[in-house]
Amino acid sequence: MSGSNVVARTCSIIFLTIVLGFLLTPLLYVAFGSLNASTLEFPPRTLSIESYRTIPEAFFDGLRVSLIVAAAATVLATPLGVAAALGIVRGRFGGRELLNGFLLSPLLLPMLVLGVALYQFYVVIDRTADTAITGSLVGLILGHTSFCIPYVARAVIPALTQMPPSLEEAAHDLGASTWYAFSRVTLPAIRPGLAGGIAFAFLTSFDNFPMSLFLVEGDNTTLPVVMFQFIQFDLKPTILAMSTLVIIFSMAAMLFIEKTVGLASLVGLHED
Amino acid sequence: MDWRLMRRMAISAAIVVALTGGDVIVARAQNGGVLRFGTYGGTMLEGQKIYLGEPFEALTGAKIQWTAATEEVFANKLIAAGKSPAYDVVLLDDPWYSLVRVRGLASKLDPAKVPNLNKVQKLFRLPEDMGSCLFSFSSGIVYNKNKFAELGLPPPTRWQDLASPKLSGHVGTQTLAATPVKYFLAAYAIQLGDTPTKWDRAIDEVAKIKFQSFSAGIADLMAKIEAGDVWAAPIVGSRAYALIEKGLPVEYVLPENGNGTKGGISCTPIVVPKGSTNAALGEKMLNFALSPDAQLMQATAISAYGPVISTLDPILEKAPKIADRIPWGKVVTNGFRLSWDSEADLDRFSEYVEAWNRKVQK
Repeated sequence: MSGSNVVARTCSIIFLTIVLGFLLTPLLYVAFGSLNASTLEFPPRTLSIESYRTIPEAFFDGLRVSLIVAAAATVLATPLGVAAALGIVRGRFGGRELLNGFLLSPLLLPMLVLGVALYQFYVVIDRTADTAITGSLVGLILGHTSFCIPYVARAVIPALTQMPPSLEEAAHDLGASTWYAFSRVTLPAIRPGLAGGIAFAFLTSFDNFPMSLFLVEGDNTTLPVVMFQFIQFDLKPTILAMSTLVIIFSMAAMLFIEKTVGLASLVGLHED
Repeated sequence: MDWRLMRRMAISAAIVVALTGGDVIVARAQNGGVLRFGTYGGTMLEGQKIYLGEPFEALTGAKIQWTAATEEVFANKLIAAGKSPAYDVVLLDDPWYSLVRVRGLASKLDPAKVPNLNKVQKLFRLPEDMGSCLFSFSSGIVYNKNKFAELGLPPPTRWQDLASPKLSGHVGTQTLAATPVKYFLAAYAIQLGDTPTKWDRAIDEVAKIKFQSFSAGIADLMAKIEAGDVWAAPIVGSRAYALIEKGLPVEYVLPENGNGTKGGISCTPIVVPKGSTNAALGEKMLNFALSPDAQLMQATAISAYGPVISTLDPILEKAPKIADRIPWGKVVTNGFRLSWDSEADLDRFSEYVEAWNRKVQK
C-alpha cells in the first residue's frame, strides 16, 4: 500500500471514529446514567437497576400509542406520498410546481403552529358533525400523516426521476395494465427511495412532540409527551431507563431485520 | 392485478384497525359519566389520582379521564376550542388563569352547587368565583446553609439578598413562567416604588445578577441544587421541603417583600370551562376537592400543597410535621398574593417575558 493510501485510510478511520463517537456517546451516557439509584449523577455513585423497576405504566402506554400512531400514519402516508410523487414527476398539468411546493409546506411550518391549527380544525369538525375527533387516536394519526406524506414523497421523487419513463412505456406496449406496470416495473425501481421515505416517516412520527402536545388527550398520549410531562416535575433516572429500553428495542429490531431479511435486500440494493 | 400486494395491504389495514381498538371508527363523545380532568404531570398527577380520583370515582360512580400537560398548553387549548372545551375541570396557574378568565372562558361557580366554596379563605377567593383555588403554596428562597456558612453570609431575609456578590454565578432561577420568579420580581418592583406587577425596572435590576443557570422546569433546578451547582434560588415551598427531606444541607425561608409581608402565597386555580359538556360533574369534583377531607389528603400527599379552606387550622396546629411544610394560619391571613386583573396587565406580562429573555436570560 502506498504512503498516501495509508494516510488517507488513517484519516478516514480517525474521522469515522470521531463522528461515530459523537453520535453514539449520548446513547452510552443515557444507558450508563440509567443505572443511577435515585438521582441523576454521572458517573453514577452506585449502580442499580432500581430505575428500571420503577418505570411507570404510563411510559409503556405511551410507547404503545406512539408505535400505533407511527405505524398507522406511515401506512396511510406511503400510498399517498407515492401517488403525489408520481403526479409530480410523471404528470403534465398546470400547477405541478405549486403542488410540489405545497407538499413541502408541512415541513416548513413550525409543528407547534400545525398542532394548534389542527386542534382548532378538529374542534370545528366535532361541533359541526357531532363527532369526537379531538383528542382521539384517529385525530392523532391523521395529524401525523399530514407531515409523513412529504417525507415519503420527497424520498420517492429522486428515485422516480432517475428511472427512465421508457421502462413503463415498454411494459404498457407489451400489454401490461397500469397497475401491473406500476407494481412490477415502477415499484421495484423506486424501492430504495421508498424504504428510506417509510423509515423517515415512521421515525419522525414516533419522535414527534410539538404537534402531539396539542392533539393528545387522556389515554391517547404518545411517549414523547408522557416523558415531557414526567420531566416537568421529576428528573429521575427513570427517564433514562425508559430511553435505554427504547434504544435496545430499536437495535434489536434492526438486528432481527438484518438476520432474517437483510437490510440491503429490504431496500433493494442487491437486486440481480 | 397483483393479488398478493392487495392481500398484504388489506391485512395491514386490518391490523391497523384492530390495534387502534375501534378508535378508527369515530364515535360520539361518551360524556355521560366521564369527567375530563386536566392537571399537571409527574407526582401531581399520581397524587391526585389517589386522593381525588379514586375517592371521587367510588363516591359518584363516574370515571375520570386524566390528561396531563402544562398550564400554557391548557390555556391555549381552551382559547383554541372556544365554546367546546376539551376539559370539564382544568388546573391553570396565573397568569394563564387570568387570561382564560378575562377571555370569558371560565364558568362562574354557584355556591349553592359548590357549598364548600364558602369555606375558601378570603386570600384564595377568585374574582367573581370564576373557578376556585384548589391548593396553596408558598414561594421563598432555598439556600445551601453550608455554603452560606463558608462564605460568611447570614441566612437570606430579603429577596434582594440573592444579588449578593458572594453568590455570583451560583444563584439559580427558573424562567419567568415560574411563580417564585414572579414574587422575586414583585419584591424588586415594590422596593423601586412600582406596583407589584409592574416589572420594567425590576427586570433591569435582576439582570445585574449573574445567574448560574435558567431552568426550564423545577425538576432541573432541583437537580442543580442537589448537585451543588446552585447555592440559592427562588423556589416553591413544597419543592424546597422535598430537598430538605432528601437530607440535603438546605433551608427554606419566606423573605420580606418590602410591603410588610413575607414570601409569596399563591394558589393554583381550578376552573370549570364554559361550554363543558359535563359541568355538573365538574362542579361536584370541585366541591369534593374543597372538602376538608380532600384538602387534608392534599396536604399529606406525595407533593404536599396547602389547603385553601380555613377549617383545617385546628388540625394543623396539632400536626407540626404536616403544617411546617405548607402555608396555613397567619402565613395565609397575612399573605401576599399576586394577581393579574385586566387584559392590559396580561399584555404587559407578555412584554415582560420578552424583556426577561432579552435582558436577564441573554
